Amino acid sequence: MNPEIQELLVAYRVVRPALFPVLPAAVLTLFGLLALLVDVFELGRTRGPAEGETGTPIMAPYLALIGTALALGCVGWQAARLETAGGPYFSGMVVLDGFGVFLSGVVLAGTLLTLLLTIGYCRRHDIHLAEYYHLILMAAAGMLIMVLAGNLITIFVGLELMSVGVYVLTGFRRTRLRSVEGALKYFVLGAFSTGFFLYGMALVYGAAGTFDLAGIRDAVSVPPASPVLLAGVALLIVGFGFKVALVPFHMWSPDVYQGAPAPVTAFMATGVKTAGFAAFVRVFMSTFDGLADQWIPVLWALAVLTMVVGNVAAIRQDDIKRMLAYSSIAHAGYLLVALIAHSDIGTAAFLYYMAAYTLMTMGAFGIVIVLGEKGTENTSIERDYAGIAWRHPLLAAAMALFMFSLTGIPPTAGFVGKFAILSAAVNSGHVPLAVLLVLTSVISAYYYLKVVVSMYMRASEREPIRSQVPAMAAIALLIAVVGVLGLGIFPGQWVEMARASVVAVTGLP
Amino acid sequence: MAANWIWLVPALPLAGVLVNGLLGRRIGKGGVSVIGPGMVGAAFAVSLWLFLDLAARAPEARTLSQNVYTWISAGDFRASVAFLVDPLSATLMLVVTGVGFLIHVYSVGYMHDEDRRGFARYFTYLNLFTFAMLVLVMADNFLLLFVGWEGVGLCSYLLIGFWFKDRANATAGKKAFIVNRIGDFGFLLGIFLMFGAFGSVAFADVLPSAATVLDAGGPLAFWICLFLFVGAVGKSAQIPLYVWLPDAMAGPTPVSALIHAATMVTAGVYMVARSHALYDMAPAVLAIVAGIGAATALYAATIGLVQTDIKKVLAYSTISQLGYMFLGVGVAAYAAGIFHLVTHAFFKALLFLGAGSVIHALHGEQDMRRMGGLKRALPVTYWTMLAATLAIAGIPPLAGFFSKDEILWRTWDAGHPVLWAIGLATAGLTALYMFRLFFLTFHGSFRGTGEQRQHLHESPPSMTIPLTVLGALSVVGGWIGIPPAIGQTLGGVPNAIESWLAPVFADAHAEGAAHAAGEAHAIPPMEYALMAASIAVALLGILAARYLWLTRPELPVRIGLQFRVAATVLSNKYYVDELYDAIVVRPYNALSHFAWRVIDEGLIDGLVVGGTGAVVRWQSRVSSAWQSGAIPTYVTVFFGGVVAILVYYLFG
Amino acid sequence: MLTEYLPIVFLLFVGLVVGGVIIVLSWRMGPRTRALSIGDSPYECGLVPTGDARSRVDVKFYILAMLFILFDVEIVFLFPWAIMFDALGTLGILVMFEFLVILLVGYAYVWRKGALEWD
Repeated sequence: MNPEIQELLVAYRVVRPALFPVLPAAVLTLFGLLALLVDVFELGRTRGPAEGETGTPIMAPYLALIGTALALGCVGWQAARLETAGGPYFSGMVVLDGFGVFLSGVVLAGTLLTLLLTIGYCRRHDIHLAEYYHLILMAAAGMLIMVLAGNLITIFVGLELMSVGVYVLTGFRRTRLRSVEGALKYFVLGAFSTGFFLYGMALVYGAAGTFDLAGIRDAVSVPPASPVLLAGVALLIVGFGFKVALVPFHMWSPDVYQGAPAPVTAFMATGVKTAGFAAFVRVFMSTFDGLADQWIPVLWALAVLTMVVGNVAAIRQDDIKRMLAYSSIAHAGYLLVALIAHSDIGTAAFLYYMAAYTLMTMGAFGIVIVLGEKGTENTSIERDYAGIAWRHPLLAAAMALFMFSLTGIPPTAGFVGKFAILSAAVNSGHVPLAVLLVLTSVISAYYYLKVVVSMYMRASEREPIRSQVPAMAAIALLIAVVGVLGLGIFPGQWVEMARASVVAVTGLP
Repeated sequence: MAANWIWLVPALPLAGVLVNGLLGRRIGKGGVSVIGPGMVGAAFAVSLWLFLDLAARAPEARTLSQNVYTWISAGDFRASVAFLVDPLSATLMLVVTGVGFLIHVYSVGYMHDEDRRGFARYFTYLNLFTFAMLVLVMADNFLLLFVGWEGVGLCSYLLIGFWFKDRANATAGKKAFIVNRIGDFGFLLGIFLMFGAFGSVAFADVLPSAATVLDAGGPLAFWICLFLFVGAVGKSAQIPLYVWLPDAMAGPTPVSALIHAATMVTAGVYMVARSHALYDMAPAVLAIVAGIGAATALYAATIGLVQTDIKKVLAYSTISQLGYMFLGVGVAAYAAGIFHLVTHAFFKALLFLGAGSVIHALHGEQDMRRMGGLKRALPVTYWTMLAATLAIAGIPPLAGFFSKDEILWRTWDAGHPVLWAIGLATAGLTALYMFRLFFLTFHGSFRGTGEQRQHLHESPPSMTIPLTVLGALSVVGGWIGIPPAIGQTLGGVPNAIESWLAPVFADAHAEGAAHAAGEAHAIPPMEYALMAASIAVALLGILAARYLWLTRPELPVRIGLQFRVAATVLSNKYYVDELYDAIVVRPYNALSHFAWRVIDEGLIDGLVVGGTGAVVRWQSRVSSAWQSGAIPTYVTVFFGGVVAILVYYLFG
Repeated sequence: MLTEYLPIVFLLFVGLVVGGVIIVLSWRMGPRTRALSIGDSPYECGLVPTGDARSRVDVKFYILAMLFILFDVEIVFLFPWAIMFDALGTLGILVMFEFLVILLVGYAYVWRKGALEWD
């Protein structure tokens, strides 16, 4: 055989298994680039209304959908091959474990729902740029990299890939002031927090002499912890805390969530949060495992602040996107409780809650999206949501379901998730935190219910919202409804899956 | 055999929910009025079958269970969707489905003015309510019980706010839900503590081992029981969480009947009785239960005395009667508490449905001051209401007499003369205010408008038939629990309900079992004396009511003027709503406003940014450039967090 | 432990004092110049500047500058690759090929969007 070809074959044999963990991210990237290319060469676009004007991208959204579905398939393949998957990959820069694969699935499910909701939204609000889909796929690829990262550098690369995409997406409706304002705030503060994150990485490197998560764990396992290391840990907490919106690093999120286009907000509330938490939990549960006594008190305080401020501030909000922003802050607090539990049960609860949270938040934003009209998103709870139950009974019922799930009322996914977190917290002896969690979720009943009350028990005083639910959005909402109910009524196998996925995380290669 | 079909009981109403909810508009009012009541009726039939199957067995073997599937399984923690049918839950199932069925039938007539969509929605909620309550009473573990518990709370919220167009109704629905959530919070904590102590939440694991795991009177038993009781207080509308129930009158009247009689509010009593093995380990909590029960009974009765809205009177009477039930379980007379629950379900459902019939006849009039003399126009309603009123007043041999007297006697017997005296006083008040309602409504002369008088009509059969059935039950319902003191003289009639429930409560109350079996042992003469006392008090109440509101109707007004302060306090329900508003609601709103406006925007913005002129100028420059001065604020807060964490690590 | 930092504190102190003294001295002792004198102009001699220094610049300059930096930095990655070319072998070629393809997509995008045209 031709020696060059033989050499290529050898290379292929080296590359193929190495690519296995990043296959979903690679698929996303490929389709993201394709979507950009076909559009920029004006393929797969409708003809513009007038000469010289651009039409609507047709092919790009479908490419994005197909890519995400394929990536989801790849994650399924990874899950099936998890037992035999070797490692290390990319010299340990990437790890393939149950934890990562589970969360990859969550991220991609969120992305898929975002795309399904986005397509109708873009049409309704005259967003005719294929870059939109490209950016979503690239950000999702960044999330996947974060989720599977085995090295601080990899986390950082994923974080930036994700963040830059989301910054741009936030400001995508650039004729609207709030959108641009949100993007600017997010970008400026994001850059600020990235600085802290990098500084934290540098300090940890200074203490441990490596960026490798497993290497750091070995290096820092001998007490006492040096001040340099502790400062590094502190700054990493700040960096992660910003991305997942923990109080007091949350200030950006209400403005940004309110300003961003609704599907992007949904994407941020689910995907960005999942990826941020994934890296957060991985680093703290495995790498800084030995330092648990050092970080638990700090996270404890942050969790208390986050749950209280998030829930209390949400009460007064009338803009539903803003209310959901505060609500997602509060949920970050609940998720943090699962991390503080610092046990396998806690991590399993985290995984389960992440899946449940993604579904119900996506669902809630999905309703917000389909209720928007051309030119306005109709986000006032008092005005726009009043009496919706009579005009759109199914949408209202679905929204009520998501609200009940977010409150944590059985038999929904939110209840089982909250229950799992609570039992993990109680199991680890964090009873006060559990009590606070229950108390703050009683508070949350108030503002989630406000939406239901408005929908069912107020008469509408504005001209009725004329909104056709696009078929794609209907599919997305159906998935969310089935998911929220399914995870709530038959949580058995999902809890099992979450528990099985945890096994690998504490035993990094 | 029968155990394999247990799931049918909750599944049938659930099927009703799906059919009415999804196809309700298509099948029309006719279809809905067949499916809605029909499914509950079928559930009643299955319950009856299960009951008979149970009754045919030996007393020790009277438990059926069915595991539908494992709901949550996480490590040691397991919770199943599994149903348990034992004498206690079978009793409750019969009450829920039986009385529920009658209320469903009645609703067909009562709601006939609703449009097609509202009609379907109404029966969807009603079926959902029945389903949730069945899950509650049939659950075989505390977590599933909690699901039903939340479910009835949710449905009550939907139903109370059914006529949402009136803003007050929506508010009432929300109030019910939020107050219930406070109770649920306690209940959930109780479950967690229990799981911590027992490693399980299944009745079969927790209850039998309660005596070995918990120290009698120890702190763990105390807190578990207290937290569970907080849940019961919320759901069963006891002091201090009763405020939602009177407001809940905003819903359609049959809903009030369902909430008050067959479902929802009795859940707390059921739960305490169900977990009696735990409560026996915590005598202090039992004393609290009895105390709160007695206090609520008296307190609500005094308020009921001056209300003018017919449904409000009944609402306070429910609270008062629930107080009796808690008094019963609080003195460890669990069977007596459940007995009163059953009889109360009969006559309270009847009272509400009768009141609904009156309101229906008067086209929505609820003020008793504009009623009167309806005896002629509404004969069926009149006679059935009379039965129910006599029953609740405690006149033998109607249902209420036996169950109320059982509780009073057991209270005395357990050595609580003060609680007994409160109970007795309440009995007198009950007779007084219930006959006030009765006389004002049916006797005297009609005080409404002429137009109302012309349209007076008896209700359709779909409404009067349930009234009649419930009337019969209110008369004879108490005969299942004839105490030995009377039973022996009648020739050895046993106390059926107590011996039926004995296997459930046997371990708690061995003496009660013997008592229940109707064995010939010496009846203390005291029992007869107390019985006579309560009959006398009830008669006195009726006579007083007759004198005050029939013979000398001007007298109550004069009394009211004489004791203006007391009257005002009573008719404003002791100002508790205002008190809660002042000490809970307003501070709560203020706090959230504070957190949002002051801390989030004001304090930080004002203090940090608005401090000096230079900063203001800098801020305004930033503002003009970026349309917002908020980023510096955000960065400041962010940086504050960073500094706090770093200080903690490096100097803490 | 903090004594090691004493020199820095000392330096800070000296810096502040010397700086402050010089400012105060020049303010007290220097001649009072009138406003709008030649000393206030940017260069104190030569052409008198017209307009504000902070004027707007056409956004095209920024785009061009950003694109330049972008592609410039990417090309920098080629140098270490070229040096290690032999050691990296075929795998290296494949990886660099993939890298360049992505770069090319970016280039195509920029080109088609018209970012390279001045008008």
